[in-house]
Amino acid sequence: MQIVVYNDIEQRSPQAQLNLDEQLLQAAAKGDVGPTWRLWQDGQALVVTRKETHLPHFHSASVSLHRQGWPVVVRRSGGSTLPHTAEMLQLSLILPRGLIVVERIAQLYAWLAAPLVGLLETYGIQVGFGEVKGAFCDGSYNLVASGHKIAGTAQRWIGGLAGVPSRQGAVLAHATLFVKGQMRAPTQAVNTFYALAGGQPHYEERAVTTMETMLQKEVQMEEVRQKLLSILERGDLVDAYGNL
Amino acid sequence: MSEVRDDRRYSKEHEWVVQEEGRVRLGITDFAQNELGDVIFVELPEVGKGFHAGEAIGTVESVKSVSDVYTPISGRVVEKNEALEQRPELVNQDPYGEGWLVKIEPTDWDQEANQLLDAAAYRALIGE
Repeated sequence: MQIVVYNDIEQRSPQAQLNLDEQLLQAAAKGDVGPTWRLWQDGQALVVTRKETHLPHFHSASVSLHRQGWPVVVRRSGGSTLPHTAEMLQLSLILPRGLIVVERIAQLYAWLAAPLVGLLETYGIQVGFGEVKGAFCDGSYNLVASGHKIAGTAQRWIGGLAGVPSRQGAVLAHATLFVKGQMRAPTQAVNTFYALAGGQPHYEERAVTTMETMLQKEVQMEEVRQKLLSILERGDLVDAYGNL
Repeated sequence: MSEVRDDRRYSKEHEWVVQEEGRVRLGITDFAQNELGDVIFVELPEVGKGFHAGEAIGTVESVKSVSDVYTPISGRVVEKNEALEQRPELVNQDPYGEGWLVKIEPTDWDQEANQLLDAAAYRALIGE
């Protein structure tokens, strides 16, 4: 499978960054874009799903969080609220279903995770899929290191329902890898959002980790990014489905 | 084994439609809900909005993914299943009954329905 690697270094607003994923997805569905990896970084933001926009006090909570330095932006994939910061790496995989038949939700997660698993292995960090109690945006397809969430993942399928083979439309899977810094402020921001918006969840900082915390030493964003980029360009981890 | 009901028509995208007193009720199939996993959120269009066949009318979110849902029938939405706001799991529990999504006033039912799959063809599509 030939996948174009888009090393996206352009600065955009957090909403514009998410919009680009959606634009690539729509373009892939029309046949205008082929299979693509997009590697990118975002500014500080709280990324909510369409579900959160229905919370009773969503708008006032968004205004308040924006004032606190956490603009609230909306993505169209699944899960729940996830913080983005400049100390995280973002990876998106866009596949036209006309070119690549994705038969299972799990298969797409495995393809998305394969390069991240490979990256983390080069640092000696072993990860697998799993849920982490107390982690924000929790789900079965977190990447988990020593019981802590180190990356979040989500999907969006168009042209036919998820998990059902189709020859039309496209799929998007994206991941956020926590590379540097502490997770206290991002976790607090998520909790503040839900408290103000009228949601129930409360999350714990200790459920989430970063590469730096796992390694107990400083890592450089650019170095991590370049390593991941070289793994993507090598392209030999894409077929790791079933081998995680 | 997934349930397929003989009284309705099916799209290749795994939506079902059934005509009831001049209106068309639409939902997703048992096969589809099973593949999706536990549904946790359904976003449906506003009543009164018109759609052409093949257009996305909303989204279904499971614990693992979000999918667009399409209407195989053109027309205007006259009712949406408000119960799904509080109980999205109905899509899993009763996909052909209480888990329906919208009701549409069709503009070209006879022609568009003929282009959809009957139960036997849909069973063949899903390999059952």
